[in-house]
Amino acid sequence: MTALERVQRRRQAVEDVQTLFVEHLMLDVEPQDLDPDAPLFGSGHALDSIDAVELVVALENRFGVRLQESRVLSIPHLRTVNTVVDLVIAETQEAA
Amino acid sequence: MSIPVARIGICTPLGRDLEAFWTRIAAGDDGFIEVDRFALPGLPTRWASAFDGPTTAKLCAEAGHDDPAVAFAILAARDAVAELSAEQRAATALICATSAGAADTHDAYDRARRGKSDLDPELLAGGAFTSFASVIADALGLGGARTTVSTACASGGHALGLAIDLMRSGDAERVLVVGADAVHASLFAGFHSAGALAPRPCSPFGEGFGMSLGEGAGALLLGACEDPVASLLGWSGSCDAYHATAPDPRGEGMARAFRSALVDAQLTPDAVGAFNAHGTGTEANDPAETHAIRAVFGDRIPVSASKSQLGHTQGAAGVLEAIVATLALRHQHLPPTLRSTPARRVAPADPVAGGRARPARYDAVMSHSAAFGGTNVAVIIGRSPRAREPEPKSPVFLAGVGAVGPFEGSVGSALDPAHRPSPSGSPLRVRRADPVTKLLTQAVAHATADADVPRHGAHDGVAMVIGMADGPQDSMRRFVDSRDQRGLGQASAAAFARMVFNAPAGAAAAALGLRGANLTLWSGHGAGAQAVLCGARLLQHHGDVQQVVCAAADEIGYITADRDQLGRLPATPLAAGGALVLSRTPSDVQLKGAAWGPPTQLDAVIAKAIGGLEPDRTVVSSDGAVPATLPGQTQYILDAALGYAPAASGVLASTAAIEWIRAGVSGRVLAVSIAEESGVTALLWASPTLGDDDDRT
Repeated sequence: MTALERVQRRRQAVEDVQTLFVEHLMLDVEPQDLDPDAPLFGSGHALDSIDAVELVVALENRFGVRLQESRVLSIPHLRTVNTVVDLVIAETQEAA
Repeated sequence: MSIPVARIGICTPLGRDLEAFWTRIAAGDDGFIEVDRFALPGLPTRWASAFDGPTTAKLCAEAGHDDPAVAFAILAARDAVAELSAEQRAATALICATSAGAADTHDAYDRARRGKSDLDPELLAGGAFTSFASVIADALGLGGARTTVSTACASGGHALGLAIDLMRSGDAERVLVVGADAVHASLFAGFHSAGALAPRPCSPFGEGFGMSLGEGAGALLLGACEDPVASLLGWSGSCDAYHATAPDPRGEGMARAFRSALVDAQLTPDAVGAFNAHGTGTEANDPAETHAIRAVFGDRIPVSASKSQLGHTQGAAGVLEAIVATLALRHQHLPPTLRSTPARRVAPADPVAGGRARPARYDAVMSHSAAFGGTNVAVIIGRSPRAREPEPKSPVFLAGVGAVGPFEGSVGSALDPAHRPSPSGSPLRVRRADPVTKLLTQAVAHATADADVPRHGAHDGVAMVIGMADGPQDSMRRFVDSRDQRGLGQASAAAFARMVFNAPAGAAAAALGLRGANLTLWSGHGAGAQAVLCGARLLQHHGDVQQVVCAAADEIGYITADRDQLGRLPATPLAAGGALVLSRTPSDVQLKGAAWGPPTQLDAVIAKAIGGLEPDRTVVSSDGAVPATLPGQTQYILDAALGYAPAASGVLASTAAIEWIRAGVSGRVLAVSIAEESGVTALLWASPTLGDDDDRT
């Protein structure tokens, strides 16, 4: 994969994750307005443990990855849109 | 005033005969089986206290209804009213308690929508879908007022509490309270996703966290009789206003409900000799509840968790556990908590371990239920009636009003363009909520701002009574979609938490810090008007309740769209929310009269509410024909003018009345809700300066 392809792939993944967050977690923003570096849990978008479960299941279905059995999944991975994208890319590469 | 329990009926996996049921409870039996009625692919447990398939089919045949929850309710209720004459039944009011209601009927509707079978219009028309109580009332020939409380796992306790207040007010002389729920695949899926299900039958306060589901029905007939089984001495509710599914871990909200119920029953903690806990077995509930019990009663009180025998019977739990507590009290025993040893680090000092009931001498027991939405309720049951100082019934005044919908905040001017309202306050931005929750929260925010309730902080004295018709449809659809697309084992926990009928009330309470009792009525068209009447009673009978928010909201969701397509709506659907704040503090608008009854008693209900005080205007909301003979010089038909919002319309009719009285364009306005299923509610609003000394509230 070239550097350009990697950048494009990441950009697409960010868009997908933004859309998934807004749809599944009922965030009141347009997907593109969801700051990829804003904290999602606690004070940020005030997501909680129930949302975390929903998020993991939705990511598995959208990206065809198995996060619940993942060796790398931990709470810091769900901190922001960008950390979620890191996780998804790592897991899809692991699967491939 | 204590309320006599005249007769009890049950339909549970531990039996239908009351004495045989008590014998099995005392012996430490439980009702757990591996459920065989439906498939549960992808789920790790099938354990629940449930009827097996053949028994369920027999019970449905006997009840004459093919939805299990409805059948259980009919059978329990039938036993409870067995000794009433037809005339007595015709005058008996009914309060049902259920979390999912006719879940199988709902499931059949969802399957039909996906095109796997024909969409039978009767699925949507049947009362089982929106007015559980009207189905039970019709099956038993009960001719009084009827409503359904749906506060998820606390429904049963709230139904008993509401019955106490309505009987204290003279709204009904005899009330049948019926709690019922059945297990179904979505229930397993939802609690599994939430991470709450135990792999084996639950062990409250013992090793291993997790809850187990249960099903069944219980019924208590309340009213004067020769030899009462027991007496309901008092009750109270509270709201954590903390989180959608988890209780406040310190148990602070629960403890407030316990203390407030003791005040209502005029008892000290020492006078209560036993505690029937919510005791679900989960890590969220049990430690919080233990802290609350310890804070109020210390370590001396024995604590029984009947869910170790009956499973978590959802909306029926509060009723069935009150029945277990009542039977134990009569037999002077304490029911056991099965599998409570070895004990957890945080657990009651005496969970009645040992696997069987234990003899004890005591005169009163508290039964506690808690639920999603942070709502808690405690009911106190006594061996004998208790003379209570009769309190003068206080007048009910309006403290604030709010409405949200396509009428620019003023229902009064939408109906009567000559009326110009004053502008309303700033809207509240509600984040991360489904449509009905947003509408409800915004309407409540307007009304509480109008009543000068600060938008921040905790308000322990502000209670809520909410009306729902089709409820959080968007979250229901999201849950069904997640279940169907991802499988039973991967259904959405977030949508599950939001689709219970009291989730909007819980979210509104949390957004605005309203921590008093928190009830939701699920009674279809007319739910909003019933919420106003019930809210007035809550205010009148509980000195620690300073204000009550009565509100309702409707979104236009998939059920609304299907009803519309089938030609079942009397007007264009309307997405709206309406809210009132009632208070004892005198203001410019008074609730002069309030009455309710079955659909057949419109004239009698109106006559009782107005009591000879002729209104000059009448606002009607109706899901059918509007009678020509209504009082008042001018009548306004809300649904025709604004659109059809089945739950909210009952509040919006009062909103218009209040706006007109405040603006001085009218002195007395009657708001009437007429519903084919839930019945008639009439509310007379008036300016106190008219000087009517008579007060019918």
